[in-house]
Amino acid sequence: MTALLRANVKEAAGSLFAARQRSLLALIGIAVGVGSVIAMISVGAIVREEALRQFRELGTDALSIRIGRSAPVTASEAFGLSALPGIAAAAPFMSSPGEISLAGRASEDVTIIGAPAALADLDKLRVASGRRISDLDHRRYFCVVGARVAATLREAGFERIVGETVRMGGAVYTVVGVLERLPRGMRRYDPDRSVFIPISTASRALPRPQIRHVSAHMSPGAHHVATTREVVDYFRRAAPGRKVHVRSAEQLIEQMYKQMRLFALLLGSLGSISLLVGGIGVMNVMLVSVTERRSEIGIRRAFGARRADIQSQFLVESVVLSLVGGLVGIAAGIGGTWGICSFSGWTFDFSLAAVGLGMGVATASGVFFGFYPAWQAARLDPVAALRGT
Amino acid sequence: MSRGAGSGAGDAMLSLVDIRRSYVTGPVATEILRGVRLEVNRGDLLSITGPSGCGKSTLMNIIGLLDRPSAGVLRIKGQETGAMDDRELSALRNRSIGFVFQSYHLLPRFSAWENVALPLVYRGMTGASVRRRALEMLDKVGMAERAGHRPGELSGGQSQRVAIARALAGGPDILLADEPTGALDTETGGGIMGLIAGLNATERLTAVIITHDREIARQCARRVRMRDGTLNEAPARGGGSGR
Repeated sequence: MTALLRANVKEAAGSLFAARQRSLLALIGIAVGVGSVIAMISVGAIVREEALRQFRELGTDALSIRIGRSAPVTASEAFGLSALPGIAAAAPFMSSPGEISLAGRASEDVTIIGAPAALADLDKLRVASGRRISDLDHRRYFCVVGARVAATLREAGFERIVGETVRMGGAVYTVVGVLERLPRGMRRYDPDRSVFIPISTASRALPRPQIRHVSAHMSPGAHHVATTREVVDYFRRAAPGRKVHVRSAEQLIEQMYKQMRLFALLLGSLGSISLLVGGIGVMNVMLVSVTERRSEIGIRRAFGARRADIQSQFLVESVVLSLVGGLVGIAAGIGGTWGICSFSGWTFDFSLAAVGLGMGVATASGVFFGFYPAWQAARLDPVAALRGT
Repeated sequence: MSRGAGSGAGDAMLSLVDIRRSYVTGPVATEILRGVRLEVNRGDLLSITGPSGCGKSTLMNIIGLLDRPSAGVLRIKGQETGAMDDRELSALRNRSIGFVFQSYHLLPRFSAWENVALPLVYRGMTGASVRRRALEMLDKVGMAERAGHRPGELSGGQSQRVAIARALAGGPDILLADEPTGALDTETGGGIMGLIAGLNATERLTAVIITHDREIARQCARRVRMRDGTLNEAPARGGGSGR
């Protein structure tokens, strides 16, 4: 039986190659279908992994609070947040769009963050060189630049960033530190494209020195929903009706999973439609193949092939066709995943499970769409088949 | 019909009793075979002749288990075939019948020896023994040197020799040939007939040959003529007891 199977596979490859133009069309459909299924699974897993990695950075107990423009909070109000039972630590910060320029030779749009020293701890802002902003830098024009900003300055020909003076909004700052390259994660700003200055300096230097952001960490064991309510209530005590948005890591994870399901649904429907189209293509190729090879079927029957043998021969053929499509699809799926990852700045990864799934999907569609043509072949009247009519 | 000359009852390879076959097209039923009786014994070389449309091919398909009679009994080596299912019929066809067709019917993508191996493959034979057996058969028909050639590279006569090798590969009880020389010139056809007759003489090969060629029919010890769906057997050569 295995020898017969082997002969069938060989025969299938030969006959599909003989009809390669027709086979190619069916193959493309299967390939796109399998490719999108694989991309769906892989991108889903990668995004999940990527997001978790980012959350792991800040910790799942991180809270990010934003206050509405109409009623910004005072510094003492913001620092008072840490007195709440659900909050372990809090750091308010000012944020303003700005432009940094270095001796007129390089300039870049940045976000200027005026923050207390505590923000670096809460938001895990690690320095690559130099030092952080300290609370001892009170009202001084010192700054720490993000990795991307530093790169721009370096491109302008400055080997040493720390110690250079830069200009922002009419004031001159001395760079005291450069941050490591950091993912945005759930921060309200992109650390790579930000410049950090002391909050006391910011309140004098920024055009609109308002505290509208607070980064906080929850106390151990605090639940994010309850803590969110606590925070909102706290800020509304001073100003009823104030807009308070609280974003928690857990809430974000929930959101992300919801988004992931939507994403999966989208790629899943694309995949299944392509598989359907490809499958119909396979069925078409096989039906034509059965018609063209009627006399071969008759000959095989004359020398002892059972209906079941004919059926399995044609099933093998459609599975071989689908598997070739599947292999191309696996390559396309992995390639597509790689493309999406490099475009989005995610870490590329692919699992063998996705490859297995691709092969499985291809085989299943081969069997499913090959069944009817194979059945047609098997029930051909051998006498009519031999006559070739 | 009486038994063929010189054979015992136990050697009956093929027995047809009152075989009928009719085709229904719309309201009209056409009866092609109207009560065919025939017995073929081991070692018989039998020709069936008759005008075209008389039912020769239908009879051959029924003997070859490719078609089923509408009525009557068909036994192959004593086995009643009427109640057999596809699986049993296919197995019996594989073991007992060796087909030779007018247009050779070789599989174009297979080499000569792979074509010859076809009945062995459906028997479940595997490995080197298949090739060995196929080459042995090709040798027997004088085609050993062409084992690797594809049908497109063979002449008509060579193709038919390969087809005979294929028919014999499974060691069938009956060689069933439908106009085996019909597509060949007289000389080549004579060679093919000579091959079959030779195997009949040396190995007691049982063969049933459908032909319209009197010359071919004359070389057969038993000759039956078909007319209007029934068979009439000519007196056996050499004054045998057949009708």
